Amino acid sequence: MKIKLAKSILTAALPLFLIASCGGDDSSVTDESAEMPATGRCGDESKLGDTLNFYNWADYIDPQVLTDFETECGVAVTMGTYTSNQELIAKVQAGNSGYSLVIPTDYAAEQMIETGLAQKLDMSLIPNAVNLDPKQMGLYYDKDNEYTLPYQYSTTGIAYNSKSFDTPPTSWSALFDKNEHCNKSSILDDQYEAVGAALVYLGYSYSSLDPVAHEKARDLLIAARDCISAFDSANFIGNLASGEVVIAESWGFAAGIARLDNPDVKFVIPDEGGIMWQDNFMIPVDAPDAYTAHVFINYMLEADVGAKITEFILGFTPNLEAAKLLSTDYLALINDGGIAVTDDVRKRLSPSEHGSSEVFSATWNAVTTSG
Amino acid sequence: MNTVEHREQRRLFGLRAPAVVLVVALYLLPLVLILAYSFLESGRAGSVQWVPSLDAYRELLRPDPRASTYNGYVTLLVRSSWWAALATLVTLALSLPLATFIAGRRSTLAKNALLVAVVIPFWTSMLVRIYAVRFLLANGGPVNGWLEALGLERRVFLNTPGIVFAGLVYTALPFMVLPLYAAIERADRNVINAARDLGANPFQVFFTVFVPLVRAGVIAGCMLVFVLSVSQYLVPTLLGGGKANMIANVIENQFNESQNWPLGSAISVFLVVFSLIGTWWSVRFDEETN
Amino acid sequence: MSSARTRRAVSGLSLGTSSVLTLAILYIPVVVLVIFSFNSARTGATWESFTFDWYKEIPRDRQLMRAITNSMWIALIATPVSTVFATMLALGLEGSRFRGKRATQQVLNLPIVAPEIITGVSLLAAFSLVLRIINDVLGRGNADAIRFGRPTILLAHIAFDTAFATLIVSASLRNLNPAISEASLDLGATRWQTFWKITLPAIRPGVLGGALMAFTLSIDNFVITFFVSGPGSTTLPIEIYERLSRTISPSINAVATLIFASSVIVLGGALMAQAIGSRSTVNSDGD
Repeated sequence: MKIKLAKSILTAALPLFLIASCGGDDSSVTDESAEMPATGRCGDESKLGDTLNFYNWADYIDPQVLTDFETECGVAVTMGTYTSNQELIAKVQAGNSGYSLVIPTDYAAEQMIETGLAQKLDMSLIPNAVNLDPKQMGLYYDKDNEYTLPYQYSTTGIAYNSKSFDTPPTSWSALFDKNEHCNKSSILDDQYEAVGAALVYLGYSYSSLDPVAHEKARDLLIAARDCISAFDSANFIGNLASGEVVIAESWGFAAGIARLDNPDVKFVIPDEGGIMWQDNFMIPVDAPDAYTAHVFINYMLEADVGAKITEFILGFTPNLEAAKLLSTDYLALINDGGIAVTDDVRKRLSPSEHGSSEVFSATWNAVTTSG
Repeated sequence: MNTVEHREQRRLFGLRAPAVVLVVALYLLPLVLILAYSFLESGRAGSVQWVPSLDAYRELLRPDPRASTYNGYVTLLVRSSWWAALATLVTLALSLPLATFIAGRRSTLAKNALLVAVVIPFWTSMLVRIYAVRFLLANGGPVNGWLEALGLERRVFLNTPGIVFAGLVYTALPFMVLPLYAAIERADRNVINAARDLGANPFQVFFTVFVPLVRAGVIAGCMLVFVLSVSQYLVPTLLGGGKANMIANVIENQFNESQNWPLGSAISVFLVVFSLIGTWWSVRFDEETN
Repeated sequence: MSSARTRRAVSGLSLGTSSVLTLAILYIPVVVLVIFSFNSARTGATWESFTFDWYKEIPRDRQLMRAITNSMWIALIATPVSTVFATMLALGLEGSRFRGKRATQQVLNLPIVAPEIITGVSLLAAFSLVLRIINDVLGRGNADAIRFGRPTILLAHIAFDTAFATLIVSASLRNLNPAISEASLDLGATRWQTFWKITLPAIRPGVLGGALMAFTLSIDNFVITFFVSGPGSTTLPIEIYERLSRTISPSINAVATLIFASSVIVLGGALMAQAIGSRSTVNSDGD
């Protein structure tokens, strides 16, 4: 009877185990029997680790790139994900996170560099850095690119379902003021993006620290809560595509992803202004395997890999060589959707430079705990 | 005690030791640590500085002139307790008939089948169950699809305090039905039958005889459900869309994003005190009744 | 007389109706989810056609497979360890009197009554502190520092699994007549023989029930695991939770259905154990 009962436990466990073993072994792959082409894209393979812990935004890299890197260089990349810069900073700040490569946004990178969380990059290990667009280098948070290199950049504006609007929205008021699309709208769940948008709508600057400005922004957002269905930085993409949300504060690339499923989704930088921001490669100072991280950065800066990444994320690539390889589908998606940054649009964009977090988080806290 | 008894006591002690050590090390001591952290200063890397400070409690209880209520934290503590209390009552109201119904089945097959039906949700992952509700009621989900097919307008169900409250009840139901059922099964039928024979109507029987008999089960279920509901994390996160947060969300935020561990610990201390009072009281009540 | 009977009939009917309604509330969401996991449409608003596609995607998803493997690794170690600890604890508690028994029982109830969010953050704090001390003492740097990962999750799971399993094993032990094991000892059997040949067979359904409960709790746990996991040690519930914050992914419905199915299977195993056990168990209550 003992055997019978033990069997019943195993029967329950077995299906899951079988599925797991079918799924491809990701323990360290050094397959001596197969001829691994010396691609030269893997640095000094003797110094590479077996695994690399990579902390990235959710859905912010083509999973195929991770598989390819493993096949080419024998490193199994384990990716953890976060949905906000606050989460990233907190994780790295706590120390000993176990991650060797992270992708902070510009202002977060600034904070991490200032608090000594980043280590200087060894550029000799990243020869592909020459591919990078000089316009995206040397930005305010890392003027000499000692600690970061650009990964992807995009904008923040408004994404909307063109079928629900007779005339396309051109102002933040379409989100913040009561309108017919109540309960079908969302703003980003981020103290800087949400409060910043309110500030800009009210005529201040995105990173204003003026207490009067913040009070007004706070009141605006609290009043807008009745109409806005969610503060959400993740689900809104799917919601835009499905029509659950018809207007949302959104990033350019997110609008692109929504457009894949629903071509009616378009994007616009409002008249009052939007932001252009950039996500960057960074290696934490306590990274377990900085060497492999460097090699992986260099790998991702290859033209073909960069193109793959951008075709997946649908942001803008700072890699000039990769930009040459982008497909016409991608270009059509970006240009027809209002996501592309024309000279006219560029005038309305401010750089993503955020002021003190305490002021913004106090305002946002007041908004999220009200009502 | 002679040596035989000594040895016996030592043997029993040895049997208990691993579990006790484990629970003390992983439950009791960490709780004490949290209590200590609440009286320390917030640090940066490393999260606390071993410098005594009341900052956390001051921040927690400081009235915020700009907020519409006392302050954000107290608001959420009060809101979570209020919702949990209401949810407990609603869950009780729904569970009592069901538990009575099951206990009243004369066929053992029916009784067992119904019990299995109640236990299955109890054993299913809470995450799956709550996600199922979210999937069901999403704007692009089945219910709205059916509404549309029937020619009605799509309705917004999620991201409201209402659905979070409903989610609390939905999650808590299995946890209330089972203790209630156990208490009802144990209740002495003779007393109930005697009351009926003496001419009491169903309502009188219910309130003056039945409920007191199963009081222990009711209390146990209520306390379990209250603690479960007041500290819920998944329900407000998955069903509330950030618009109906509860106290667990604040605690998580302090520990993960805001990295203010002393403040998070202070809030946790309040939550623990709530739960402790409840369970201590229910245990005492149960012992008295026994 | 007839009005009393009608009143009783009405209250009986309303009892039945409300019970059915409550059960419906319990089941409808999950049942709908299971059905729609076979829906080929990407959104849940309409039914397109029946398909296994979302299930076929699962083995191809490396991240998901890794999460499943992690969950199984943890559960398959936590279950036997916690069951053994729980059985030992039950034996050491039942029928024994010692100073501080009540206090011990209160402490042992902690994993059951403590809110998961509290356990989660307190373990986060405790493990962080301990790991930092250990790493400092051992002089371990970035590359080989001991971090949050499967071992920390495992410890946490063993702790609450033990507490819950003890409830079930104790209940089983309580039904056992101590006279039988006393008789066995009087007749010269050693404690171990008595346990192995008399006690254990008698409490087998309880032990197995405890084990299955431990397994289920471990596989399903989210909140506590969320706080004590590290890079590369994502478990299935955490992976699902992270995916819920992403772009539309209908294969989530398939994964969720599988989890539900495995809970039902494990529950079935537990019930079988109880049924078989109560039929063949020797205990003096004559149950």
